[in-house]
Amino acid sequence: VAADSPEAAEAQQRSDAQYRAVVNNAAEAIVVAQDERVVFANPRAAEITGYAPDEMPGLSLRELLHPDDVDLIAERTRQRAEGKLSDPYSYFRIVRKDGELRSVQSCPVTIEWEGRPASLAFIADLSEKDAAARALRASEERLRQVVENVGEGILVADDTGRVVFANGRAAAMGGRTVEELLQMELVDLIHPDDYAVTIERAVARLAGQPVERYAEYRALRKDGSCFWVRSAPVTIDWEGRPAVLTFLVDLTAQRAAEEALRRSEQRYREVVENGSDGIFVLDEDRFVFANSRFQQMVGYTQAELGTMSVFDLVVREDVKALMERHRQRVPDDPRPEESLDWRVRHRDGHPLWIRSRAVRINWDGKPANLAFITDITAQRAAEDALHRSQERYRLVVEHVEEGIIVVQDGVLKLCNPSTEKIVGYPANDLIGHSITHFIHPEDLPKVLTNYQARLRGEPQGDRYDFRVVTKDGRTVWVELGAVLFEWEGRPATLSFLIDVTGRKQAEEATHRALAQQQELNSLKTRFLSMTSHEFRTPLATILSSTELLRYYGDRLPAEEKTELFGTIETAVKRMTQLLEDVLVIGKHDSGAERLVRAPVDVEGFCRALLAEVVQAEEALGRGGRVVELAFEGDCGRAQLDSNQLRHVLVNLLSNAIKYTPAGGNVSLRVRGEPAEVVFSVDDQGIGIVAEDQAHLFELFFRARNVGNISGTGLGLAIVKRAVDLHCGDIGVQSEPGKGTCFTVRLPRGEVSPQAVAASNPQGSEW
Amino acid sequence: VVTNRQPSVLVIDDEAPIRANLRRVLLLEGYAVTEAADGDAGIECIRHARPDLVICDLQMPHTDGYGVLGFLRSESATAHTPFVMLTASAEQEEAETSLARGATAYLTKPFSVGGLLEVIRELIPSAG
Repeated sequence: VAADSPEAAEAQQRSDAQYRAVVNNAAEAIVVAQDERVVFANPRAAEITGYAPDEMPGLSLRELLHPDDVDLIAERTRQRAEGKLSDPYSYFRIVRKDGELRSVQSCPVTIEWEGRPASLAFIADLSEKDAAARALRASEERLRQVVENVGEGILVADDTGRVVFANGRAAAMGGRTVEELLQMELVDLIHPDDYAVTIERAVARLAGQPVERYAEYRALRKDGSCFWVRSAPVTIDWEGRPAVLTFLVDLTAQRAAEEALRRSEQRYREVVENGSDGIFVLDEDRFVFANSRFQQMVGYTQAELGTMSVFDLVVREDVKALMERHRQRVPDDPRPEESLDWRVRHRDGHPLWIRSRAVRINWDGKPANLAFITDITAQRAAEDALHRSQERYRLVVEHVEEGIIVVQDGVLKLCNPSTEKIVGYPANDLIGHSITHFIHPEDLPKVLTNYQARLRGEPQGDRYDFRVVTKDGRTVWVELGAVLFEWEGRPATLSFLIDVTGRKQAEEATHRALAQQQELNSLKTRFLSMTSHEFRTPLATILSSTELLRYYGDRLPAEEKTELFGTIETAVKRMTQLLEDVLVIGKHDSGAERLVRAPVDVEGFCRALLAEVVQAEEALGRGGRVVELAFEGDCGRAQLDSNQLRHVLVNLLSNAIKYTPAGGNVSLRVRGEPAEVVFSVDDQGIGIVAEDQAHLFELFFRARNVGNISGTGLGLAIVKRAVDLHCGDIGVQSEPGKGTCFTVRLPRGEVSPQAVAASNPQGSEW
Repeated sequence: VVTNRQPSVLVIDDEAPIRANLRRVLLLEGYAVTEAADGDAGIECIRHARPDLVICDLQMPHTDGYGVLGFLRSESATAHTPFVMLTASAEQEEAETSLARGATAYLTKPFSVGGLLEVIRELIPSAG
């Protein structure tokens, strides 16, 4: 630019001054560099670099630039000179005079300076710019973090109702994304029923009218369901226009908790008020709460109870028990107490049985007793009735004549006093013991069989009899009737016992008498039959002898005739003897024979009798036996039945003589002992074989070896009966071919009357 | 049939007077008589003497009339020998049993000698 004229020069000067003012006051640093040195710098450039303005010109760029950036700048300068630079901005670092680094941005252009090319650079201090931006960004980030992470939803709606901002929480509340929410208007978000009120309030707020700080309304979720929110809206300026910023709290959980609490309370109230238990709370003895059930029970209202003590309700008899319970109560023991039954008096005066269970609780901050009350009046009445009924049954069971027993698993579970009396054991020996304990062993199988059959449910005969053995060893007949029933949940038998010993004994006596009668009848028949036979034989002899004499008499020699008369005589004698014996036996067996004891001089009696027998036998042609008689001990007087003793000795002695051949020995030895007289009759006869000895005393029995020796077969039967009648004893020792010895022992007499009674000859047959 | 030989009768009875009387009558009526005092002796006689007729008591010790009858009928030689049972029992049952077991006749004691002789003459002719 040439300075041609003063005007021009003046204009030039004015222009220079203007440029200088611009350059010196520019906010940006301006630097001109030529040949890698600063040739011009404005004050702002000095400020950025930390040098004094007059220090700048001549400063080497290498000194000013960060060593790492020198080559970059040189390269970019070269590229610019060649016109190859795409990005006009360069970014590099300056090393300030104080050593601090500054990031800068420059936009250099090539100019002509003092006739040569130079670089004019406008440099902006990026360090300053970065710091502010970073601070802003950090602040924004913090706010964003706050906004996104805050528990409240944040939503901004502009004055048209459009959502212009929302945080994630606000979006999540409704099940949406932030993007979705930003497409929506408030009308879509608020429940139709609450919309009008909400908008009204928003409009009022925008108009600056005073509105309640919080509003609660139902918001709509994306899925159409609604939820309660609480909002705290404020009016703000949003990009130059009024908007509503609102903080939203989802009340769903809170509402649910409130609802749950409300319901829980409701439930508790319902439980407390509608349960069958009466409930009250006592502060000491004063009512502080009573539910309606308890009020009903006692007929007082809550208000009335509020003025009362629990002791106003208790009937007098139970005050003591209640006081005692109160006294025993341990404070702070959280365990429920044992239940207590007591009586309260209803307002109308009638008593009620109640059962209470109390527990210590805290009531409005103070210890109190919470009690649950059950009205057990009816239960008590039922129990009383049951008890009375049981008592009546007990009385029946205790006093009934029949024994009553319960048997389970073969063990006696229960018995009444009559059972003890009947079986003769105390209850302690019976209960818990096996029933086999007292049953007669012979009857045990029968009883067990019946018991088991009954347990199986098989039909049983009415009643049956068996024997029990009492503790003192007596045998008692009982009749038992039993039923199957359930005892403590399991099958058992309930049995009734009657002592039928008396009846049984009577039955047995009858039975015995009947059998005895039958036996007697059969004996008689047999006896008659035998007797008939025994008579027919001599009759046949007599008849045939008389016919011989009558029809053949003229042809018979005289001695034959004599013999025939003898035969007749013998037969008649035999029949007579038979008749006598039969009569004796008959008398014995019909029970007509009685023992008549009288003093007998044994020795004298025996001597006379032996002589008599010997004489009779001699008359029958049985003489010539050697007969001995010997006495030993006291053979004087004894209380004996001489008639029976005669039967004994006559039969034994005549047998001994009869079966002993002539010349043989027969002896009668008598030994007087203190209690007995012993008669021994010995012979040297044919003897008796062992098998026959067992039958010797049977009617009409005759040993196999008697041969032609006649006899009725009744003699020893008579001996036996006579000995039995004396309560004596007879024994025999014999050897065939050698001889026989009968030994008879007769009590001397002075026997007890019982023994006499028991000496019934039939008795010995059984 | 007339033979020189007298018909023989065996009398078995444990009662000696009965045996003696029967012997007397039978001898007088022309029979030869053998006696036995019990069943066992009677069986021996049957075995050796082969009587033409047997008169036997029923009740005897050891082998009784039934035992003798049984033996008689069991031997082929004597199976048809007439047998007269004599018994002191009045039981009808024993008469039936005797006949059922093969007795030819049955008489009850006391018997009439004439009645007995009639029975015997029917069964065997006497030598008289």
